[in-house]
Amino acid sequence: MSPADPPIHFYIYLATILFVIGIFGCLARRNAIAILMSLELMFNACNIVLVAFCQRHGVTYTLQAFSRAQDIESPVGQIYAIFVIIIAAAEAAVGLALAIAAYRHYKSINMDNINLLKW
Amino acid sequence: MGTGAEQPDVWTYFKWLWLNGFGLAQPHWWFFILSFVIIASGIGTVIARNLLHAAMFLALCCIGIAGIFILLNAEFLAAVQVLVYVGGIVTLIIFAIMLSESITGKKAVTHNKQSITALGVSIMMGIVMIVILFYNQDGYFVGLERWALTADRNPFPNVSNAQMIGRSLMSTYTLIFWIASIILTIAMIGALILAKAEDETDIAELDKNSDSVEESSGLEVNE
Repeated sequence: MSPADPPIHFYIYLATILFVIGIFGCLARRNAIAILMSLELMFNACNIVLVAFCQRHGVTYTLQAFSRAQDIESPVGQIYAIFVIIIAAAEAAVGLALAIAAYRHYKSINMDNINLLKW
Repeated sequence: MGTGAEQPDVWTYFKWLWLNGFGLAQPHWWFFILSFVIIASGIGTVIARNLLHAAMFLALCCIGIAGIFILLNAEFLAAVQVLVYVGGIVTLIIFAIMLSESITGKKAVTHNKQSITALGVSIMMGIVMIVILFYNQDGYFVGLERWALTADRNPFPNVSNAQMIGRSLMSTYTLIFWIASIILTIAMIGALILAKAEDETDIAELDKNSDSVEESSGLEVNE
């Protein structure tokens, strides 16, 4: 690779900062929807690390499914990232449905009020 | 893997930047711009008082991450990121916000009493992650050697990114592909059941119960 590409630890610093921001949001926000948005930030940080490691350290192998190319880089990190996005979409759907159900029950989605099962 | 001479540590990286200029055509420059956008909009997502503004910051953050994916030669994933996150999840979040709460002109307390503790915990978590990623078991800094960068190459000479991912999804990772479709179906059915409206009588009873619950919880908080 040319030195023009950023080194991989730059991507890891970026993903760490994003993940830490997401953790702070999950711990400090009161609104359930805001907590879900912080979760999306953390999913995105994981995706950045997966794709960066796949790009720089991908396994080189030959798939039988590829007829025209030899020694294809394994896209396994990108495929993991796609599955993470799928799970994030499912989680957002279920989580927002839960938030709306909780709002219908408690007339608010303040997480400090939803403490029926806390202790 | 590259040889020792090809490992650009941070110092040689910045020296290369200094010698070759900070042109906008270089990918590193876009990396720094996108990093700034991502981190700033991530902080905005976390600290914005208006939830609609937070959702907009989240959309901006996802667009920046799509740019990072393009820098990493994952064009298909960038398209998926924009479509699913900005087009799907952020839209869903905005619908949930509008269904659940009145937004305009509301000055509510958006953070709980744990903000200082949460800040400390998250910063300590970041330090732990950096230590795990860059130090070996004996406590030595090994990051740059462990992640020796690979040699110069054209990563995918004959196959496009989308074709590669599609063929892999249909050949090697078919089982996970099916499981993902089942998971999406289950999540859709579960979301429908969870968000389904109850009968009118049930809603009236829930209103009474929720009023009593809120009063009792308020008393507990005041004590």
